[in-house]
Amino acid sequence: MKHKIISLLLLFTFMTNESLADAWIKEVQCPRPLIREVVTMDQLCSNLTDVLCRDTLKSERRSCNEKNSIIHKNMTLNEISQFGESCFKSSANTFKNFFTEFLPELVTSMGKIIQSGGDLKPSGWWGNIKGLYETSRSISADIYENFNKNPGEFITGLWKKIEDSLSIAVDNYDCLKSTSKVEKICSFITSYALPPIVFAKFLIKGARFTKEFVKDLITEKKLVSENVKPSLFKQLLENSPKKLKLTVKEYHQYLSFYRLLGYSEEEFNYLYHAGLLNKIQPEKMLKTFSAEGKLQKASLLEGYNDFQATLPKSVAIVSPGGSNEKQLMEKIAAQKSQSFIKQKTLIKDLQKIQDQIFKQSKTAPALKSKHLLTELQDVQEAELKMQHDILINAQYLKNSDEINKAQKRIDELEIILEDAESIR
Amino acid sequence: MKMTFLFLLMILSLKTHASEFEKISIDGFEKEILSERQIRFSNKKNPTLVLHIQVDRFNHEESWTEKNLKKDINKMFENRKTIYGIFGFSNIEFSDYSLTSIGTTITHQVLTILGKYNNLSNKNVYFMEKNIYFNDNFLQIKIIKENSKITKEEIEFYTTQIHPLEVDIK
Repeated sequence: MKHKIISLLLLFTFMTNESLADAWIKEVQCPRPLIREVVTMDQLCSNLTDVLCRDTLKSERRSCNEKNSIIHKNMTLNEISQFGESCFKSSANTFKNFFTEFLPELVTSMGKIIQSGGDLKPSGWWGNIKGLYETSRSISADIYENFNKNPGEFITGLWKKIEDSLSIAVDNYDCLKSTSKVEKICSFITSYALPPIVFAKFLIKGARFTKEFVKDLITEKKLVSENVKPSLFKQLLENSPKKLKLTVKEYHQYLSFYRLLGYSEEEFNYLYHAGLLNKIQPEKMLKTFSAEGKLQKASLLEGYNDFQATLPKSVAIVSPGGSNEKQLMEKIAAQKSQSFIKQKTLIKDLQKIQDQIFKQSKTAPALKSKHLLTELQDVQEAELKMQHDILINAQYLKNSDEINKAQKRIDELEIILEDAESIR
Repeated sequence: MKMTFLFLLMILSLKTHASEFEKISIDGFEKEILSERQIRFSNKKNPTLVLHIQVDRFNHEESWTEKNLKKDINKMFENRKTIYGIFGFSNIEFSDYSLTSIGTTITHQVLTILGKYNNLSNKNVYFMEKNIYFNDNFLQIKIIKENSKITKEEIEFYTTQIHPLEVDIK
């Protein structure tokens, strides 16, 4: 218990202390040649055989001779422009719809966020922002003209604002050849950052928010795309006697941290299952690129092979890009749609319960009413978790309507719960 | 039967009277339909002059009143200034604004704003924006011109060419 509290406290400190988190990330990333820096030929080649690239399909892996990645720190205006154009092209209709549909919505969302003081308030609050739609249309026209005159300049301006925040995503695709890299990063951006409300938050809330968001998404996306993992994760949660009780978000934070240290997801799951996440304090964990780190990893993963042998056979089909990948992806999409429908029904039930409790609490005596409000809060928390799941599923299914709905409801619930907590 | 025919004739004549949004044209300008809610006109002789005509929804609770106009416009200006800044535009100014109305039997509010900003290449860009409010939607006419101010005559000329009251924007 004591250990649990300490490690959770440490995790909390890590999550809330930006400079500490940044320092750690920086440190664990140091030995890895970042694609945005100029790297030597040797580094490029050794990186390819490194543990980080071993899961990358050969057809997608960059060649040893590929010195210049498309995305790097000192990209010229022309390079950024080319990247932007490839990006738009790779995401089909995005270019056509960007100025006419996306941009007005983006500006509207920005206006709402600015007016509400940095965070969106529950729906209805912004109902009377005068001139918001006029503003969004007007500014969209100005931006369109600027883009038309000099696309490179415009893309560069925007890129510079999100470049730093996206560096984790960019680094995540370090092993890929340029074309695959552009495709992956662009699909990442268009899938996740393009719901206007999210992009608006990127632009207004700045680097710290975006960085956290992207970091979470990378780990969540991994978890979603490799379908068997969530059920395995659930299985571990339910069966492991030594497990740490983590929320899904905390799990992702832990996983993200261990990945940066150089642990694979399978290895992390083993540590989690075996109750070894508590064994060494997070600040004493070493990156696996150093000799000491390798020793530490070896000692932690002593029982890893035995653990792998006990895993359900279905895990074996989870190889990114196997020969049956297409069928697997189709199967995953079908499963996602089914669970999505179930989740939506559940949400409705949860919201009905909330309405009932809310009505009851209005007429109940003070003491009973207090109890009912605590109950209401519990149901709202359950809904919040469910909305996060829906958001992940909606992102996977690329259902932008549902993404917006879930994001909006998450924002509302977070504010409601924060308020309730402060009243307490 | 006769009545139905007359009714149909009436509907058809109304339809032909109101010009469709996408059919708007301006002499000497090239039309580009960006979407069903946005048209762009570029001047063939002067590449620094463009017009955007857009349609969007409008909530009556958000309508403008003379009493609060100054306060509301200032608020909108601050909002725009922040957003312009994020996209790299600078020195935004509203040089003039007015709330008027057009129409004879039914009147429609018109909010006109004149202003300028510096674009990403740091060039002065002047604009005139006319928002004309109908039942549920508004029509926005925006003139954007680089390096020289937009004159009253120009505003009058383009507004007349567009015939905003005859545009079917439902």
